Amino acid sequence: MKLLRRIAWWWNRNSEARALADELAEHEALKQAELVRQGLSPAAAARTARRAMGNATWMREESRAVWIWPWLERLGQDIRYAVRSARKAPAYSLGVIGITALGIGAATTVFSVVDGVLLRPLPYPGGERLVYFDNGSHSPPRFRDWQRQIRSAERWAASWRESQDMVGAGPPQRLMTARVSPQFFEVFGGRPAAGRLFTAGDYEGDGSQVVLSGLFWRTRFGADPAVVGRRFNIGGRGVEVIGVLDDRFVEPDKVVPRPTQVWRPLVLPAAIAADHHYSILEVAARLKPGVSLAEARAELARVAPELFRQNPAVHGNGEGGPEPIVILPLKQAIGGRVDRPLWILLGAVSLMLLIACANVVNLNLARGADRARELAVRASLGAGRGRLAIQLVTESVTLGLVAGAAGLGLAYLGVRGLSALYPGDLPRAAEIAVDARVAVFAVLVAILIATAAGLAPALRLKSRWLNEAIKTGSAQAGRGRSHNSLVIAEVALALMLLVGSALLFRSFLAIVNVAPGFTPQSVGVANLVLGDRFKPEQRIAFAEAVIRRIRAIPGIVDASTGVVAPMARFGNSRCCWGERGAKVEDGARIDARLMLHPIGARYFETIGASVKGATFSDEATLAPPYPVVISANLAAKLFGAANPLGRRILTGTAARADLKVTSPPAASGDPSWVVQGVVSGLHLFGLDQDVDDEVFVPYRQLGGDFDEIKLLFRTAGAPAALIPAVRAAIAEVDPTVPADDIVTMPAQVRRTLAEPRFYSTLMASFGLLALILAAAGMYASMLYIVRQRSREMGIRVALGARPADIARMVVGGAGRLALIGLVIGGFGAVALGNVLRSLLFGVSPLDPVAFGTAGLVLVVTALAAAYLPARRAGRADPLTAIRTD
Amino acid sequence: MTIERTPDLLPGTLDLLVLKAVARGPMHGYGIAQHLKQISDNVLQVGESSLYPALQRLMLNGHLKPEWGLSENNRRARFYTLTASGRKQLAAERAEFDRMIFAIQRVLATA
Repeated sequence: MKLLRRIAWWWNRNSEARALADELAEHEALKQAELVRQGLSPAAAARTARRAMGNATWMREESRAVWIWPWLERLGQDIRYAVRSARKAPAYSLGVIGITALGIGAATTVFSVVDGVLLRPLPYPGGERLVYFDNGSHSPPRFRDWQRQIRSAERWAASWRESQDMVGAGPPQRLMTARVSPQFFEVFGGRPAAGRLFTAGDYEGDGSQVVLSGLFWRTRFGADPAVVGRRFNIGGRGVEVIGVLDDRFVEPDKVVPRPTQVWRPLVLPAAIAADHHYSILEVAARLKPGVSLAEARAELARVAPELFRQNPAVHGNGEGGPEPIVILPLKQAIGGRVDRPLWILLGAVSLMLLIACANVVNLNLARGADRARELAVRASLGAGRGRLAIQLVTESVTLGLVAGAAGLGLAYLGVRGLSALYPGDLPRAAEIAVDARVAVFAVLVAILIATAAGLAPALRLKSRWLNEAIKTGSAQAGRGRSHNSLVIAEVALALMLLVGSALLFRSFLAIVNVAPGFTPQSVGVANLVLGDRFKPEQRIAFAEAVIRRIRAIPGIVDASTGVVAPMARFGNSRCCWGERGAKVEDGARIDARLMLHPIGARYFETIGASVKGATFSDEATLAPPYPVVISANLAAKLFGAANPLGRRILTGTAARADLKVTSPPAASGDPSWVVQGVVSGLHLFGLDQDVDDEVFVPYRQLGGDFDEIKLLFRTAGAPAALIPAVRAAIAEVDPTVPADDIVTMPAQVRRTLAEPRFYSTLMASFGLLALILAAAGMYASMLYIVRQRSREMGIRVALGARPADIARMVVGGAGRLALIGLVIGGFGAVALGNVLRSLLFGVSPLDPVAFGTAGLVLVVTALAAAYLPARRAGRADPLTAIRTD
Repeated sequence: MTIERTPDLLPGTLDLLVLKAVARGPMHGYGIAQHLKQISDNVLQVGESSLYPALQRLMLNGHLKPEWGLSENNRRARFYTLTASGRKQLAAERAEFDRMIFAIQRVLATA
């Protein structure tokens, strides 16, 4: 109420002031009339009445102060004054606003991403209590035992991700599907937009009910509500749509594929449900309220050995011990992959922000000195030092807030750009937004910078300084010591950023220069999903029929097939069958994690990898001992320097399929292999990935037990030109297999390089921006220092110094400052390098080339920034210089 | 020669006196000052410099409502009326004042 009256008064302040004036005048008139009645002469009455009224101005101000808090009014004055003085110095104001807005824009952009991906609470009920069961995927019996025996969790969610083909609703289409456990939507708060979600009944049948995602419903079915009840064929089986998931549902990354188009109940065939070889489930749970992460971990540490005792096959680690149960907060599990790079980007952008801040301080100091006389006059008219300081900070904060608003606008564009440029998928990308949280961040940063920048000149408001200022019209005190430290700080900060970008750039070059171990230039690959509707023998027949047709296409040099293609990324996880431990006949068992890659004949010839020994022909033997080709590093591990060809390998343990698999090798048990070839330096999973202990086996040996298959082809010319012909060949064999995912190998290689390229480009642009800002800052500082010392220069010239001497002195001084900055920044850069270590490939965090280049660039920049002011100083006319005062 | 001094008001009593004066009916600022002076036999002299800020404060707090009328001079003047909340405030301040005076008198009596 009171506030409303204050506002109403403020609204009518002019008429209110007039009303008070009228009132006072009337008061005076009445008093005068009374005095006349008491017998005074009109003139005397007027005098007395006027005297009784006292100081009218004071009364007006007092009345006004009743309605407006005095501080608010002063603030208003200061802001008006700030706007006026900012208008009077447009270059300065635009400089401050531009630099601050740029810094805040960049920092806010990166902060929005960090906030959306890493900081914001998960959009699920009790999100902070959700945990993810790490260490790969888990088998159905393991999940079943966990649910029964782990007490810390109140709700469980498991999912089996599969890509499947949908047939019977237009052209065949590959879909990402997730089969989810009964409590899944309860845990993640899913609601239906049409129809219903799964109920207990859906888990009793054969699991043929499906729920569509909101996006899929809109894009594929035009948001038609009548889709509920329709039937399709997914993965060779008839399904019925029972509902559509609300559009606002955000798939929990890590637990289900993103995007998941079709949801199905997790109903497993009895054989798979009981088989511990099928590590297919992603598992998450919500802890009971009040159970801390530490308590849950303590319970898991107790439960793991107990479960192992009950059932060693299901809960063992394959080496005779219990498999530890590892949980992570789901938020951490989701953000984990990008956690470090994002924080590093935020750190880098903060360094840039500091440089921007230093520049603003710099500008403010210079302007403070220019305004010395004005401030001195105000001080001598009675403005206290505190009052002047508040005035200066208000001016700075006013500009800062304008810059903050502009920075927020830049961040809005920046976030869109960053999300668009981000290669691959950024987890929780949908939750990145420039919203109130982010705005608060930007405003706080703006106020912080502006306050610091405003305080810098305010701290110099000492009486001595002001006295000097009023005498000379400028302030000579201090001799620019603060400018010296600013130059040092800018050099140090810029060095850190430049070293960081140089390291990442060198790392990127190192990755690009890795020899892939094959010749990607003329290779193409078709990624196919055969799915459940193909029986294992049908898969082999299909693959071989297609390969025969592809080989017949004019321009095709060779073609082959395999479950894995080079440079095909599988997110973070790899794709294949794994086997732990192997031994050479009569040798000791070695601890190695073997990766098993089922491939077809002429695989190595098709991708252009060189194999010592023999590769597989079409007539590969299908009886033990199976012929295999192994990677050179595995050969070295097993046989040392001896010739591996013709030697036998026994795998010691039963196959442990802890990777993304659909089935263990059919021949598990006691397969023994004969090494018939050795392939070296073949980087299957990306140029920056190590070569694993790889075993290539003929895929027929595994009986076609795979649902994804890659068709590789080698062309005489550019592979892109033959993609339509390959697609036609696939359609000729089976038109219902979606063949839209056919790419060239060079494109595939580029895709694996996209993330390192993105980070190094972003760092490089921060580094470049930092360099420009630092150069501008150094130039301004040197200009200022030289101007401050113009009198000294004049005297030197008068005493016979040549312009070159003066210039050398100034440049030398700048060089000294730069060197101090380099030393300080060097320590910072070493620390930064250590943080970057995990992002670096083939480059030491102390890489001398990176440090040397960055240092050299900065020294050259510093000298160049000093050169122009130095030349000006050298040409100083002694008379003018001395006369300045 | 003795200097005639107007005694200072007890702190915090100005609002109470103004409210009490206005309680009789609408009054303008001059009227309030005159009224207080006459009733108190010239003891309470309210200076213009404190009267008008006090009136503004009472308006801000919603205890007084201004309206324009004609003064004895037949000129425009601002008349103040007591609002409901002003009436309540008057009662409260009066009770508080009585309590205070009573307490002071007791202290003085026992001394």
